[in-house]
Amino acid sequence: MNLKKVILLIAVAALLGTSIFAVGAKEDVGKPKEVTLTIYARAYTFAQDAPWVYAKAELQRRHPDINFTFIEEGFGWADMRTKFLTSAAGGSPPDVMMTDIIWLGEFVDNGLLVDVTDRVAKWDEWDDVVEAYKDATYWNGKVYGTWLNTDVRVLVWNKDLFRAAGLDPEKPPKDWNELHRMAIQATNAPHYYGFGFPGTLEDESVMKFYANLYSNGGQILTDDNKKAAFNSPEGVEAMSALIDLIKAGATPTSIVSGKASDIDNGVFQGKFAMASMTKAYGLARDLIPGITPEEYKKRFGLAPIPHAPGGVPATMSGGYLLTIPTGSKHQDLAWELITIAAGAENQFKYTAARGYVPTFKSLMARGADYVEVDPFFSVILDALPSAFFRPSIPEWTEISAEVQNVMQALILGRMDVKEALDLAARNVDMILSE
Amino acid sequence: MNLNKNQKETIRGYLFVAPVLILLFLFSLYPLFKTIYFSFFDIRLASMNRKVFAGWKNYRLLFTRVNPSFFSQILPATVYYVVGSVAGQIGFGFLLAILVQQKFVKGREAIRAIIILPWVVSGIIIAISWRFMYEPRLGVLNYLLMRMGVVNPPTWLNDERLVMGCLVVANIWHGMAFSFIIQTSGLHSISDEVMEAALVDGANGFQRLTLIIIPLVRQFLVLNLILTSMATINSFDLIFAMTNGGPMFKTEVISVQMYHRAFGFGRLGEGSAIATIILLMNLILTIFYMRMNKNQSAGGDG
Amino acid sequence: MRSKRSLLLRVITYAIILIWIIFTIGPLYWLLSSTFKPSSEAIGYPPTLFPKNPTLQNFKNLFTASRFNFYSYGHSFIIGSGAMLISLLVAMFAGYGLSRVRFKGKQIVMTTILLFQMVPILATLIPLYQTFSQYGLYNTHLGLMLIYATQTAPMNTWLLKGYFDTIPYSIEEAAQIDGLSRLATLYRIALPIAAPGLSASAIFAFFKAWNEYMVALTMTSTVRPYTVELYRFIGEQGDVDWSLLGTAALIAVLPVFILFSFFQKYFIIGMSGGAIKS
Repeated sequence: MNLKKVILLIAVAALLGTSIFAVGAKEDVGKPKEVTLTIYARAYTFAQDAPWVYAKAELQRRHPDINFTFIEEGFGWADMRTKFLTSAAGGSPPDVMMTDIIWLGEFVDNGLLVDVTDRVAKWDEWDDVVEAYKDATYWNGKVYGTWLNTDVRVLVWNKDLFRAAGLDPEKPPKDWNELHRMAIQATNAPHYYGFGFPGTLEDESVMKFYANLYSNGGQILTDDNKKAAFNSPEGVEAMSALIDLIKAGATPTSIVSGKASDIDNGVFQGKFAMASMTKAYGLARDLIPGITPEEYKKRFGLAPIPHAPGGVPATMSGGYLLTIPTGSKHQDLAWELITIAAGAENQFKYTAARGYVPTFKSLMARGADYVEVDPFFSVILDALPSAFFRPSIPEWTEISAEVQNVMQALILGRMDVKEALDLAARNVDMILSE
Repeated sequence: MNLNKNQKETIRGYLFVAPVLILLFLFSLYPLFKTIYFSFFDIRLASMNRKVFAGWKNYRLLFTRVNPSFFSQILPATVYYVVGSVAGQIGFGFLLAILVQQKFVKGREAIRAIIILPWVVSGIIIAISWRFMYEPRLGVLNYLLMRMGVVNPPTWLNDERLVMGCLVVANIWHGMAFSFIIQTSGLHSISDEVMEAALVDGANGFQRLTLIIIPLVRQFLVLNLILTSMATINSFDLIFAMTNGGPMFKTEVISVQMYHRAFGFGRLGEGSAIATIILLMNLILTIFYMRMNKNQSAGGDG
Repeated sequence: MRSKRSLLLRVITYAIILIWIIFTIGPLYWLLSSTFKPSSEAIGYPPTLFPKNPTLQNFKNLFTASRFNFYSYGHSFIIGSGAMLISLLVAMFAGYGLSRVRFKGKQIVMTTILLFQMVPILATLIPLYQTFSQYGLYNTHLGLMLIYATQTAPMNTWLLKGYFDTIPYSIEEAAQIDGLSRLATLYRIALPIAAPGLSASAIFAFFKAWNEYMVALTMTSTVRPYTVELYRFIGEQGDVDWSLLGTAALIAVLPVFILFSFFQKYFIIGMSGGAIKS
């Protein structure tokens, strides 16, 4: 009977498959010198040598008596947080967690991370961390991890499009007024536009607003993090600087579904004359195969983000910490792995390979070694002192979503800037007052 | 004696359905009870062990929140998405099942295999590739339109009026195979004699469809309707990856809202309350379909 | 007259089928063609409908540089097959019982089973995680098989019940008089006739498991299916490595597609023929 044959075939295949693959599935505990370390990190970090391949090998070298098994779980951004919270609540957290700096407050306030204040004090590389970044690892006076990398946003412009518009390709805009004027001049709709910024519901979109906000002397929340402060007059000006570009036609409303990566690619593909981004050179090399540093310098430029007229230079920083979750059974080994993975030597390899920004003073001084990362790396390093962080409070995800929502309404021209920011501020106050 | 035989049959009947009931109770009903229980607590994903009783607060929040508003944003988006997807999937599924079933169609196996292809591809890949195709400046869709001479092609996902339609099309593309398979097996249950008799009687295509075929496969259509509606109400991954509920909550269907509350913002209690509401919506819809089916069949048979 | 009309019917039929096939294949072609393009071309503008310089470099990269875990396909296959077997087994019994046995409360049981189809899996994810980690089902093939089987068992029960209903009972009755037990009748007589229904159920159960992402992500650590593993190609800002993603997707789709074509030949076409008509 044909049917029987097919069912038999499936059953045999399934059994065979199970017996082959099930072997690898069970963890071997029992032997005394076996240690299993589970790492939760962004999926792309496992696709390259730095940091994990080097760190694992080094840890194994230092402990020849232990037989390590490393379980690597790679995630997308949102999933990583969800899975971590789920597993922590289920009592089976990983041993090393790659924590986005904006999750710090949420994780720590709920007792999910191990305090490493004493450990960093004994770590000889800790003093080498740039002060501002050292400060950012504190929550309620304690340290909870160390930086794997940071990033910082700078303006990237397409010199070909500048030339086509009759603009001086070597003179990027310095402040909002210049940006506005030059963006309009560089626009040739619908073929390309003067300025691009992402409008999807994600933090990267509102980051452009926050940079303007700080530049204009405003801030996101009040100093005690208890109330919204972004709807101040400074905030309205900061948001208007972006929205006016849309009203002037220098930015298309279609950025509403444009993810940051789409906008960034657009600059190198001649779809936008300007946008602010991280990792410019890496993108350029992906999109324009075989581009040489000289050619890159000829066709694109990097500069600080245009500041408010009369304001201060400002940009936004983010990045990841390596932390130890509460409940890890091998905290000493986990910390050792972290110090190797996020130590200066490994951080250099990691940041140099991916175009990120280091957090060690000794690496800042090695700007020349980063030419491979970006021929304009000095521009990125120069922007660091003007970098601001978003408040890492537990409610951050929710708060930022409120701003993202009104920003979409503004892009589509559905609200007035003041009205929109007030609405978001009311919602944020409600979230914070709970 | 007679009663005894009935009892035996009853026991036999329950033995047949026992395995499926055990499976459902353990892996669906039990966790579901827990979810409904969670919906009455202030409980965070980050601190599940500290929960405070909240009464109906989580339910109240869903209906009173203004941004997004349940009645003017979430509900219309959900209805649009569900009605559009269900009508499209079943309509095209049924139509193509009948067409492919026609005797003169050559290469039937190959056609069926191709029609079912989108279903084989993981939802994530579908979502990101459709998002990229819709991309107004870089996407292949507008590139083709511009090559064909369209000067101002639409901006698809960026257009408040078009965005939901775009999602529905992508969802029909992905999910139609399900209805196609159900309807194909339904048509197989009609004997060729009936089909041929209908042809000989001179019934034209449309009459044949409504008078002969539809009543015979009605059970399959109703089941299809119920299953597809539920699957669409419950699904979130396509919208999540393509628009994440935007722009301006135009695509914030209720399951996406549940994801945002429970996982995005970590408010498990609120997410659980929304899950319970989704369950109720499904229940009402199912009862409605079943009633409709009953009335229909009573009318038809009488 | 008649032949003219039937010719028109044929033309319309073929036209609609053709349009749908183009609609179906278009997006897939576009995704899979990136498999043979270098990544700069895959995300480049203007998009190229045909790879300018077809290359197999992406396969090489996928197998060497990307560190993609190829066992993930195996995990997906095991989980899919297991979920399919469990779902088919329980649904077959229940469907047959509901169709052939008269018993009190049958209508209620049937409705109850169907109502389970409306439980959103996302809603039960956290409680399931807690239970699974408690009872050692976390990170096992069996755990995922059970969840996915639960997802498809209700509709498969109904589908098979509906299918058994369309099969005349007289053949089975005759067999029962010949002394075959109910189970034997189910196995020897009803099942072969129900093959088209079974094939549909099998396909549902398998693909539901094969394509699922969210549950798999939450419930696995080392036995991750390929859907979770695909996230390797999604970068820092949600940027996608189209070439590698397309290549990995092609590898996932191809064997399943071949398997499916094989199945439908055996099930839908081959088995349904003579049995029902008799």
